[in-house]
Amino acid sequence: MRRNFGSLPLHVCFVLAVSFLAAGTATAQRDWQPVSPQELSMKTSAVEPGADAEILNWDVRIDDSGAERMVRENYVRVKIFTEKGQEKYSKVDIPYRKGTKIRNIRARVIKPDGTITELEKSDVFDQEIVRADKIKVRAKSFAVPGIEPGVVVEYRFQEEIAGASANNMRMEFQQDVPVKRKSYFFKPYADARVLTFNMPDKGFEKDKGGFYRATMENVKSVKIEPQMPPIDEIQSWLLVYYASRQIKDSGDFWSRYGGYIVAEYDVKKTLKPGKDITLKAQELIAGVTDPMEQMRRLFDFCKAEIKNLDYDTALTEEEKDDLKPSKSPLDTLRKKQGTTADINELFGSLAAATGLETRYAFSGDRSEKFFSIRAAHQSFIHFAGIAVKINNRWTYFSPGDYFVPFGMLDWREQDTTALLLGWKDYITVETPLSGPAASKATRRGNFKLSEDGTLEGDVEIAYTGHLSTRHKVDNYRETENKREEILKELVKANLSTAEISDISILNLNDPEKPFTYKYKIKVPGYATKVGRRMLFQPGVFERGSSPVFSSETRNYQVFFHYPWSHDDEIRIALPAGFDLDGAERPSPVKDAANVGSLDITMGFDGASRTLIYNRKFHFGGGGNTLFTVQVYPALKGMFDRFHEVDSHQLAIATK
Amino acid sequence: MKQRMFLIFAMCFLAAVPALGQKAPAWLTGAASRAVPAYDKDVPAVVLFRETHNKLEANGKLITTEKFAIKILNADGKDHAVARAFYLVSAEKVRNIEAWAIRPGGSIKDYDKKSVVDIISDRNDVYNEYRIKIIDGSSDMDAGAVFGYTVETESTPLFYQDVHLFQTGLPVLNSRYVLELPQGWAATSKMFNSSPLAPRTSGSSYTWELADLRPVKSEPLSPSIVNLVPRLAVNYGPEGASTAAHKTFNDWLDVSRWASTLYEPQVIITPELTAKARELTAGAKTELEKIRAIGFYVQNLQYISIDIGVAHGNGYKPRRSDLVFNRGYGDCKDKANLMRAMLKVFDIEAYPIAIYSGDPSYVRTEWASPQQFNHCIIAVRVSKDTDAPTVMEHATLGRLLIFDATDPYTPVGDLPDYLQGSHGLIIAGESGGIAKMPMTPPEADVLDRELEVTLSPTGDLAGTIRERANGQTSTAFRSEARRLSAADYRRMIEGWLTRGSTGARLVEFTSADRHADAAYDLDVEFAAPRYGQLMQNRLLIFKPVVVGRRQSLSLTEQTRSNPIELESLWMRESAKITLPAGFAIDEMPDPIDFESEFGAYRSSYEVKENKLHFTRSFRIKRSLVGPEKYNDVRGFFKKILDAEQSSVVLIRK
Repeated sequence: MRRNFGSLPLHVCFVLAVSFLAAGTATAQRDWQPVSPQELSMKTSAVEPGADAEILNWDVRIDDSGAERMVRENYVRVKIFTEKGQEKYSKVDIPYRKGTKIRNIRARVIKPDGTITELEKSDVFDQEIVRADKIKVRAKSFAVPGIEPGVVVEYRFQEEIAGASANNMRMEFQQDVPVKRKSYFFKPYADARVLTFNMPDKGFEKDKGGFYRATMENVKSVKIEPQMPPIDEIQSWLLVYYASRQIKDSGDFWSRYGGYIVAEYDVKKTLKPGKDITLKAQELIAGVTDPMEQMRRLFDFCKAEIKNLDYDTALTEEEKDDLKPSKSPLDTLRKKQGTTADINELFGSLAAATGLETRYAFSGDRSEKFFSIRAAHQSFIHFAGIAVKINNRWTYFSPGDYFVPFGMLDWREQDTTALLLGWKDYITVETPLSGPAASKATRRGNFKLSEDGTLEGDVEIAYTGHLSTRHKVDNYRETENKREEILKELVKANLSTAEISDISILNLNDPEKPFTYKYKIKVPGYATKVGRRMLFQPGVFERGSSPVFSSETRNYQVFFHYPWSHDDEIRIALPAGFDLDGAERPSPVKDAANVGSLDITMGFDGASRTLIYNRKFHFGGGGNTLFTVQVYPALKGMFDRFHEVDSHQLAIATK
Repeated sequence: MKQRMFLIFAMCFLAAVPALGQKAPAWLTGAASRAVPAYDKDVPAVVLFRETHNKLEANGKLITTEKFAIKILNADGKDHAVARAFYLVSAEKVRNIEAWAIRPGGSIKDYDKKSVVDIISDRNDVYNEYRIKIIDGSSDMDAGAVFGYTVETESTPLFYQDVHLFQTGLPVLNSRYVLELPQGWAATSKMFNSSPLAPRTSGSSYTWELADLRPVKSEPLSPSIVNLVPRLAVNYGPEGASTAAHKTFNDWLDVSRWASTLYEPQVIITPELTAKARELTAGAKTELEKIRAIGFYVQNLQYISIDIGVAHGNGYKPRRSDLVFNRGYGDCKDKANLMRAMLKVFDIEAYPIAIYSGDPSYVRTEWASPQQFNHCIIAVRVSKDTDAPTVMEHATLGRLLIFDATDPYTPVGDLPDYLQGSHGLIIAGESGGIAKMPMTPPEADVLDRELEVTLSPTGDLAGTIRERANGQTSTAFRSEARRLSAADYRRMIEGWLTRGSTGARLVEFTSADRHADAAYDLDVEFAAPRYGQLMQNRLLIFKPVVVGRRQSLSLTEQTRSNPIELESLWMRESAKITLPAGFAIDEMPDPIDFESEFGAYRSSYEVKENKLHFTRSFRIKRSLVGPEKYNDVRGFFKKILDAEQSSVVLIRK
């Protein structure tokens, strides 16, 4: 029986994650390919000058034509330029499990002068990496002999994996070093389809011996930049899967897959609830006619009255494993507990019982990929929540995501394509993106500035929307001590000398109310004294922050997860004997499209001798959270300006 | 009906009691019932009981039984509920590993064989004989639960010596080490990091025991945990016997003799190795240049660790130099040995040094044992003509240049700071012994920074930064440059600039790695728009410290439990800032000159010909400061931080 490739239990996956799969082997019959004088004499990468190494050629040959096994061969040739490249390619690990045979491991190093050092068979070690109950993972490992900058390194090996299949196999072309050429040779078992991402659509072309070949050349390395899209949106890769010839196009695929989901989830039963669910719905919405308010009642019931097992910190893993899964929304209702999916289904059933059109929402996940309906593969969507048509508009609910507020989806499921499934059909929609006001940090500071420059006072910060969800998720499983540590680290990241005390964290477990921090803070040396003057930054909450973008250049689009906003009010009582000296308000920052803005207003209460500083900021207006490389200079300029304005200093002086 | 009633009754009974047959041993249930003192809320768990019982049998096998019981105080402690049994796959075996969880309600979970996961201990090695059997109970834990385990292993000791830590950071109510020897055997011991502790004896059985050990906090700049917790070192052997055939050592000379038997045969000089040594030194005119050339070659060979035959002493024995040369890789002792062989081509004598890498004060000279070391470097005998900061005088071996052939970034003439001042064993047969490694003088480790910049009337700043680093500071810069790709290195410099000034732009930079001179240069040209802030078109405010230290230090907590380890640092900076026309100095920070036992900070400001000349220097002395002086240390660094934030105020004329 063929199993999907790579289905290892989670606790052994780390072994695979750290292994280097040396790529590109010829078959046992083939010898080493000749190395050209240019390759030997290269001093820097032709694809990306300055790189630590360059993969000159990488052939991956996958023969999936056998019924009982898959054979994969790798042959890689790498040119090493620096010590970092030497370090990276100095060791090769090939993990494998029972049923896999690793054969024909060979490696050699060719110096610029043509001298060749071959790997000795006795220098290949085979050891057991992990053994747990019935699972054993072994690895064949070797160190590359004589590796140093300037050499060409070649590896090859063959894996024969019993019961494996290339169905749903990812084939990646991009690495963390540039690639001159990489080819996948694929011999399928059945009718196969290909989806390509960030590469030419042509995918595979027919090659010899029943193989198909996909090649990319001159592929630059993947880099890490701040605020970049998910890696699958950047790197070049393709997905191979087996599918019936009967599937005509992506629309047809989703229809069929929709049918599968309907059966698997028993959608009809959920959206055509029986007597018990209907009675419950009626009980919950009694006296309420507004449909949104009705949904609020159902939503609150699902959150408050149905224990969410996925968020239950009291359950051990063993206890969770022992729980019987819910068989239906009615089962969830009766047990008064369920998983995230169970609770969403219960909500869907209750909502349908009110007579409103209700559907299952299956969406993409923006933290992994920007889903497009043309990417016809089930791995790109998941059950996100329930869509209810209210006043002719689809509104989305996910009570099973415990910390996501009413009427919102988690940020990963916003602003993406979704399939809304009924039990007869589906429709395609774009889920809405919540605006900056929905995810707001309201920050209040009441401080006193001392003559020695110390700032101390009280702080209260309340988060809503996605900001709130993020803090709750980060904190709910932690001990009280750990939560305080998290807050202190957040504050001290910007104000390293801050002393924080009297910490309160409010509404942590309340999914609807804003997550709120309250604490006392003391910052010695906040203001600096120069002669008779004292200089300080009134924007306390932004003091010490770093610019978002420091590099002049950009490789990839800029991606912000969601729009957000700040509303700050800071009061600073000045020390006795000091007055404002030339206090000026910084100019506001705003763009024509209102994507982002920052406005500072200041006032002075003479009676209490208190500076009042108001800061209003937003970013992501108009749903703009993804920006092209071309606009990066302007975007960086805007964020630099935000930072300058926030870093604005005031002077006070003795009379 | 009766049957139904019985079933109902049976189900209730089953629900009320723990699963039948789930029992924990008496020692664990006894430990679990102990009252636990109150600890700070950041203490996640408390070790109720731990015991290591070593029994040396007449056939030479050592049977080690460990018992461990821990109580989880809060959810942060769950991860401590793990049983581990370390063993060498080639020569040791785990006879038994068992674990139990006692839940707050009293029910007991007994972890069966299926719960055991056996893993390799270090995945980074190409091959490693060390393995660990694990039972992970963390997912079953909650506050108030107790986790306990027993591990029994069988081994053949390489030495009749042992080292034992009574705790590893968590508080411990009771910690015990037992050594049971055959008749006619005896043991002696030393205690470190604690007052002396005499064992309870009963015939040839010895028990050392400590109780109520307080938690050791994890704090920045602390000594390593092994230098904070009570550490026991034990020697044992047949009474009256001297060194029991290399299994125990009276003194460091003994250890040198023993280690020499492992190292000497591994120095193999082949024609190919000789040819390579000559090729490397073809242009070398002096002894030091030869050593540098060979040192550079060896330190840049790939570090690869392959541990085979460790139980038989191969962990202390390098591979043959010809093999390492042919393979082109090796571990620390392989590299030191290869370097010895290559130097020998020129009749330059060298000796391996066993040393501890990670904490210069770890090795205790009172206890002669190879077990105190985890690294190998080299001592090269040099003539009077060779001078370098890492040359030391040895009473019998003469002038020795100390070098770490494993560190690819520290050149000959310098030594990694974590080895300086450390005690190492020079392996030189009858002439070997323990010696203190040299410490480079402060002037061998300095960062000089010069800025020449111009400030415009609108606050724009532009100019150059020139950094010259030597010693370990240059090593840090060198490793940074080599570990990052060229693009990432540039981004790092951009980030460095923008941390000092938003919107700063890197115009150009060049770097020069003068490895042989233990130096690294960086020249940067930059522009920082609106660096200075113009206030009401009248005042112009800017900070003379344009770029801070790349790694700033802040001791942020109010209190301190552990000593503070400070590393040496010396930075000198001078900035010439051309002031904008039409502006004059209105306010300037006062010069600073403060000194403490930890270091000194000085700054001065002077205006000459419309240029502000700003200089500053700060030095930190390498020291271990007691926690009672924490506020002084904190205050010292706070002053430096404040000084870096100081501003100059210009006023329009």
